[in-house]
Amino acid sequence: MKNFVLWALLFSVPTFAQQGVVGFVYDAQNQKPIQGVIISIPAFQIQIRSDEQGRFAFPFTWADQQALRLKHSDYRVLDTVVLGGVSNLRFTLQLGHMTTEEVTVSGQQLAARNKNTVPIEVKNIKDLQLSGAMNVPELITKIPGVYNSSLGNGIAKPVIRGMQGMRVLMLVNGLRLENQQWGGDHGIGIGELALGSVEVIKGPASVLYGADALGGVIYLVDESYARIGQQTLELQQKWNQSTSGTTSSILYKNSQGNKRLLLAGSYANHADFLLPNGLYAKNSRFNEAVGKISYSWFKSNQVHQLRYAFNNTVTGIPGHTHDTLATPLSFQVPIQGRRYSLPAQFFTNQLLSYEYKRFWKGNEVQLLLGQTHNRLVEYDEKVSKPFMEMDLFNSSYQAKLSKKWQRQQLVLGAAGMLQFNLNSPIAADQLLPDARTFDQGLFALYKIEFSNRQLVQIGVRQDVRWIQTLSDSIALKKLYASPNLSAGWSWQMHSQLRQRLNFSSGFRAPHLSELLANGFHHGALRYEIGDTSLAPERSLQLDWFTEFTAEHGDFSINPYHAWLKDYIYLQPNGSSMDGIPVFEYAQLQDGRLYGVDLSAHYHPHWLHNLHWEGNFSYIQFSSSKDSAISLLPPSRLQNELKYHWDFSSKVKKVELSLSHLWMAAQNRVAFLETPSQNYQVINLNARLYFEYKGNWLLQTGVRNLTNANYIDHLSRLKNIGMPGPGRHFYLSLKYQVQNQIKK
Amino acid sequence: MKKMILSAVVLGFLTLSCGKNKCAECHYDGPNGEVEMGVYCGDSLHDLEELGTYTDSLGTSYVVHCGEH
Repeated sequence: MKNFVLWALLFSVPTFAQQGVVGFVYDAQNQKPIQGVIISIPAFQIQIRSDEQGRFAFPFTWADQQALRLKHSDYRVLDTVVLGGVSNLRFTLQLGHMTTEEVTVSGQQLAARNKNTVPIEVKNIKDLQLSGAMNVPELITKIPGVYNSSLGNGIAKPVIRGMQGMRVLMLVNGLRLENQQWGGDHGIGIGELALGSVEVIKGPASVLYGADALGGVIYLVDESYARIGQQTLELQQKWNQSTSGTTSSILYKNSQGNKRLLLAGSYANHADFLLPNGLYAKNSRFNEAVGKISYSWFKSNQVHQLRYAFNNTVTGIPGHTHDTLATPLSFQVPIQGRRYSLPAQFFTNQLLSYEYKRFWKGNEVQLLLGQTHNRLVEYDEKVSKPFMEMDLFNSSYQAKLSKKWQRQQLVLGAAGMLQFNLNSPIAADQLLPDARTFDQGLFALYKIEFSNRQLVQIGVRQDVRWIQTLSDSIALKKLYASPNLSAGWSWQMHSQLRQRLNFSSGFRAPHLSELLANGFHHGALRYEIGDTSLAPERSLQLDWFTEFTAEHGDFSINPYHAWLKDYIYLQPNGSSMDGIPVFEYAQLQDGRLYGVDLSAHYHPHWLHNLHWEGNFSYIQFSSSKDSAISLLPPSRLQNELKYHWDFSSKVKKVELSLSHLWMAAQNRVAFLETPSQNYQVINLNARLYFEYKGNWLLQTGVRNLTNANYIDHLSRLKNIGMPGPGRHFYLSLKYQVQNQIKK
Repeated sequence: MKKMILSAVVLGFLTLSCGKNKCAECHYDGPNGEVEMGVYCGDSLHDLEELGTYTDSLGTSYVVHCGEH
């Protein structure tokens, strides 16, 4: 590492030197020091760990008041505010098991989940990885109301309460992800490498994020930096029997003085996946290369973050045959293929962002500048000439001022983006014309805490979107504008029961593909025709969230009801073009999307290491004019039993998990959409943590234990009768070494 | 370290440059089944795919496919 050029460049300047903050953590009952408490300053994304004397030391003093969080697996989480300039701290922690209130960032404010009226689901990626899922959208299906719509393993998209694609906004560390999400067969181009957590807002969130956040928001947060004064190196190798595939990854973190660095890279190569009948899903192969670098530096009252991420995926598109009479077996082959084969999709994402935060007198200014580039290339019948090749450049900004009083908070912000969609002249076809999109929004959020038990939050926002084509042959200029509002109320009725009521609106301007499409969309097996007279979609949602938390478990119920207006959908017009059915974009005047999300967690007092987690999702759609919208997720029940053994030898921990998924049949289908049958899938997973010249984590498991033959209703391969993966094993080995950096 | 950087540069260059002269095996579906036409590269491959068909001595045209499908 000594010759590492970047390292030398970044850390060659004198390290940050200021008087630090020293503190101690004790057990509230016996006043003994507690070792291993993670003390973090969420606004700075800094964390340190207490030693055997319960002592911790930040090597700097913060100028303004800061929220601190103290966390230990055997104690209740302590959230506290420490004034600027303080140099000695003393905390006591109460014994307790439940630690449910994670700090969230997706609500446009840094707040514990219970200090937000917007129901936000937070999950740790490491916990989700226990399921052995192969991609991010599949990982997050553990969250009630969140589903996955996939085209094999290489292409997958998240679905929130029946909404997906352009109706779900994805953000990575606050940066808006623009990746041609209008196409059901376009991946997301985000791997799980170095991801720390995911936050999900279910339902419209246009007050927070403007146009397109109609169905919900997926907010991905990178893994935290190394603890101050430490460096860590992590190597991981995964193997999957279904795809005879491997994923290799490396992660390096270094935090020294006031500078932090995170470097990560991975490469995955997977062949066609194994079906329950022993055949393979033809051309479902993919490979993915991911790179990530984050660099942060801070001073006593400001934080800077510079991030770059790269993702390149080459994936086969299943569902292609030259058979005159195609049957499901036309797409299933006896020999597993790995070589590049047509049709194929090349998908590249580059994300560059700079974030600046400054604190003073309880106020905070935040500026986020971003530049993203997405390249989508599809090869259909010809090797030498792409069928479609598009570049999407997106420049975005967000500026926020957050002002805090004792019980009130006001957030004022502006956000905008300038986007260019450009076609390559060598491509055979142009599904969308060259075009420019410009967004601008202004928003305000106000929160007031009437007491420690009740708070109200209201928000307003005004957005405009300009769309203009850059082609003389297809001239279009459109301006869409919409006000949005949200209002929420949170009430801690008593120590164990919290109620939340939230009302929010959303809007989505028609996308270029819906306005101007006129061509083959081979990935979707459709000829699509747009309509320039489409109006923006609108949604109003009422969410009621009740959460009961006890010492040994918690339970939540979240019914919701959304009123939709001018919902845009594809309608077959009965004709065909070169044998491919023609679809036209149309609008549904009104519709209602409603349902309930339930979740529960219990671990018995007499058997602390046993955990049961379950959730149930029910979604329904009704309209006065049509029966249903397409790809409406069926009801789903998920149960998981987990047990762990802790040891004090070289083997630290053993974790076992048995999960069961029941997916109901879906008979409420749109015109020409096929229904699907119910199915059940059982997965068995195990983790072994041990120590040998570093920390090791061995994970293995069997997915689809009973080799169930099922076709998911949201699978893009349903139309060709392709089932999901059959029974298969997987194995993952992770090695982590960390040490203190010598001063 | 120097070797690593050099290898990465060479690998990157090869990755970027290999797309410019693609090669693929081509065939057409004749009356008695698939007929191999051999490997075509670069401009020849491009021209054959642009033409899209193979015409035999009797004047019958068949659709040409290149690459693994």
